[in-house]
Amino acid sequence: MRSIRRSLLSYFLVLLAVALGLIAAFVDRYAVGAVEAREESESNRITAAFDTRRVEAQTKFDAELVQEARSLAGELNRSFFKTWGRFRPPDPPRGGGKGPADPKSAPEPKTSIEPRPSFPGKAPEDDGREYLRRVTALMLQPPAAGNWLPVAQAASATHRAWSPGWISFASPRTAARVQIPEMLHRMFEEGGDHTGYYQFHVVAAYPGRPWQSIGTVRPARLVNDLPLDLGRVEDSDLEFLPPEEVRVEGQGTFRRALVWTSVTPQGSRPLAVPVWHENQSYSAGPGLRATQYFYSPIGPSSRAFRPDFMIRVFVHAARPQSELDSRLTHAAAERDEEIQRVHSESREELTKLRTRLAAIAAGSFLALVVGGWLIVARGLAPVRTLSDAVSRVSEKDFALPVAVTDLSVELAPIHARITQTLDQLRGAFAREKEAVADISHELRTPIASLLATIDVSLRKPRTPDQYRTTLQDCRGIAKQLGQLVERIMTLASLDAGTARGAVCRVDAAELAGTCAVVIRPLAEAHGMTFTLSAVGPAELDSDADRLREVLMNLLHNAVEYNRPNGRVELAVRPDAGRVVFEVRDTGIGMSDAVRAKIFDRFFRADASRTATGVHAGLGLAIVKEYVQRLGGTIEVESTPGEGSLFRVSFPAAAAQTESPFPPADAA
Amino acid sequence: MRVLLVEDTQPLMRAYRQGLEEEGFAVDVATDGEEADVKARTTQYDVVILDIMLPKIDGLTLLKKWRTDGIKTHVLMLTARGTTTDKVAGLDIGADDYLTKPVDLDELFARVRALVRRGHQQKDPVLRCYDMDIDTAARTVRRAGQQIHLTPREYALLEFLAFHRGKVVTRSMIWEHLYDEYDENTSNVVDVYIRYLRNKIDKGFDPPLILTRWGEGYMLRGDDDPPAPPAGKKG
Repeated sequence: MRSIRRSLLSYFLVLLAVALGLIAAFVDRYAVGAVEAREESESNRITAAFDTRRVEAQTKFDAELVQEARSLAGELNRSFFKTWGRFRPPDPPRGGGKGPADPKSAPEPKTSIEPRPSFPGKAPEDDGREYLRRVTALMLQPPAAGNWLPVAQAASATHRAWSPGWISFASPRTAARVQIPEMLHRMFEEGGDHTGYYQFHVVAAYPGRPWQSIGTVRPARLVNDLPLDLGRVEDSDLEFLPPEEVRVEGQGTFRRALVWTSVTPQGSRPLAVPVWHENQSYSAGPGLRATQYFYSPIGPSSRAFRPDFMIRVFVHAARPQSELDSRLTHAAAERDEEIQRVHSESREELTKLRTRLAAIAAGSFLALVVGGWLIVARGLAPVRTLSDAVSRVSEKDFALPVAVTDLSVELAPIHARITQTLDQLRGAFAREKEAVADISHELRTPIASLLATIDVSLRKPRTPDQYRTTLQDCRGIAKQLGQLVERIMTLASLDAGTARGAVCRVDAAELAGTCAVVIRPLAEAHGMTFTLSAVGPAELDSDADRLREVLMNLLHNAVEYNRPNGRVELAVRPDAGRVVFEVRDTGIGMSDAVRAKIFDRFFRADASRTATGVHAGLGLAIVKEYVQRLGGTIEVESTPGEGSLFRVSFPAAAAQTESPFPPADAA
Repeated sequence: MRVLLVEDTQPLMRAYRQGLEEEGFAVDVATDGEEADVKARTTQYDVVILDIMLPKIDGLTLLKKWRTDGIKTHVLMLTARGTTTDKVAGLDIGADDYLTKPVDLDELFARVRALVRRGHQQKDPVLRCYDMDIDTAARTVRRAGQQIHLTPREYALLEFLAFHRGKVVTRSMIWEHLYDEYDENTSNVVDVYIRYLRNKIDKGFDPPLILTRWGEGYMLRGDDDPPAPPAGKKG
């Protein structure tokens, strides 16, 4: 059996749990969103701050690199100039000199600082000059496919700094010894604690050829060359590429600043090695502008004297990327720590929020379990009241000891129904009680008579006549008793619905005739007249035995309740599809109050009749039951003191046979 | 003792009447309420045996009317209604006793006798008068330890006198209580029975117990009556 209270509460709680869950989910989601957004913005701020620092550090790092490269390049330029300074470019040919192939680029360098060298006949004094002279001699050979240096050879021609403070270049056509500034010495030392790298590229362009690396100098620590993409550099006096990352095979990532310089004497012109050419034009390599310089021919030849090639030195200043990174390591760690802190704070905050949410949900759930239990109990109080009231209903009064106003509206129909049922039950019980009392009374009286008669008779010896009288009395009483029991049984079987009769076509007039045969002598014995009138053919489908019993009952009553010298009439007639039997008497009649109850069981208008007849107030009850079961109706008209009329009507048989019926009339 | 039997069931009425009469009661009969009402108001009955389910006026209504009108006759309700409610209702209305049909005849008679005794404020079923004992239960009479056989009517007369011991009982009182409505009232029937009784009770015993009060009636000698009867007063 389920408890309303428990099930209501559980529904309530399920609903509540769902609602709480939804609310919690929404709150959680929004909170998570907000916290995460804050965390992200915080992280972004931290990252941005770090990036700023990183950019600053890198800028500084790069600036240092550029600075180093520049100073190195400047130094290099000076050294070159020192070395090659004597090679003053020859003055342009005067007067009848042939114009250059390209007249546009034929500026006349007017500012000659040093006198023209006594080239080629003069020998230099110092070894550098000597070296250069030899190199120059080599260079003076016109470039040809045979003496052009391939890249591989250029790589092999790379020289290391051979002594502290000096680097030297050597190539088939040029060599230079450059004093390294003091500040940079250690960069080239082996086993130093410095981290920077420097590399020098000497690049030359021959007339008609692209720029070509002709020699590199790199520190010992550097296993491979830092790459140089000539395509990217511009032809300018002192230019630089912004610091960038480069990868070196086997060496890791470096940050490199690239600065280059054209080796120019007096900072005015790039160093050009004059080479004898005839009407030969320069072709610049891709991305390189070649400035053409024209010189007057040296010596007796009047041919144009042009620079054979131009030298440009590229200075790489590089430091491992890791150095920059290590400078930033601390900042990065700080950043990571900061981000981690923000993250953990967010987690913590979320956890706290969720704990609080769970606590609120659990608290409200608990409160509502208790509250709901009480509220449901309160809501169910009327049901309890009703149930208590129902349990207190006793069979004494069958009253529901609670007013409908004390209950809720919803229970009013139940209350009404229970009250109604109880009323019916009370009625039924009362009837039952009454019936039992009636039956027992009806049975007791004859039994008491029987016993008393026998007892009296047995009290002393009697004559045979006296015994005979006693026995006759007893027989009469027993007969009455038997009839009574018979009637009670009839009613009981009618109530149980077990009594079923056979329906057949019945001729009403004939049936009335058979009743008349029995009743007429009885009526005459009581000094009454009996009349039977049957009008027209009347047939019906019914149970003849029961129908006869109905009529006999009514006729017996008519005789019994009649006055002396009265009349009893039985009339049969068809009436609008029905067959009507009328039993009329001239007896005592009955009042309306009596008439209303006349078909009730054990009802007797006059109790005295029990003494005279077999009727215990059951006759008319049985008549009514029979009539109803046979589908008919019964009605009574009566005037007190004048007589009564019982009218019983049944549906006529479907097909009336047109047999003329002679009215059986007797007085 | 005179009893009114109100009963509408004919065989039952006949049986009770016969039984009561054989017990020595004078029995009047009424078969409906109206008849019973008339008889109870005109005659001084010792006991009325009243059925409830009666034609015309039912027993309870009848009894209520009687009690309201101050009729103090003892009433024994005898009815087929045997529930406690019915008994309580009957007794509360003023019935002196209540019996349910079917009833054992002996019980009925015993109760009627008890009601008669109660009517004379007599608790002891044995009435004593000098050396004579009248056992009202066994309906036997002894004088000086000697059993005296009496006919029912003689016994009834003696019992009546005994109930009124020491008081004068008129002839009409005797007639009223010992004879029913159907008995023919002959002038000297009471005197005849007194004589029979004297022959059986006083003859050979002393003192004589039945006294004659000239012009008034008879009485049974009371304790404060002079022990020796006045000579020549013997009727």
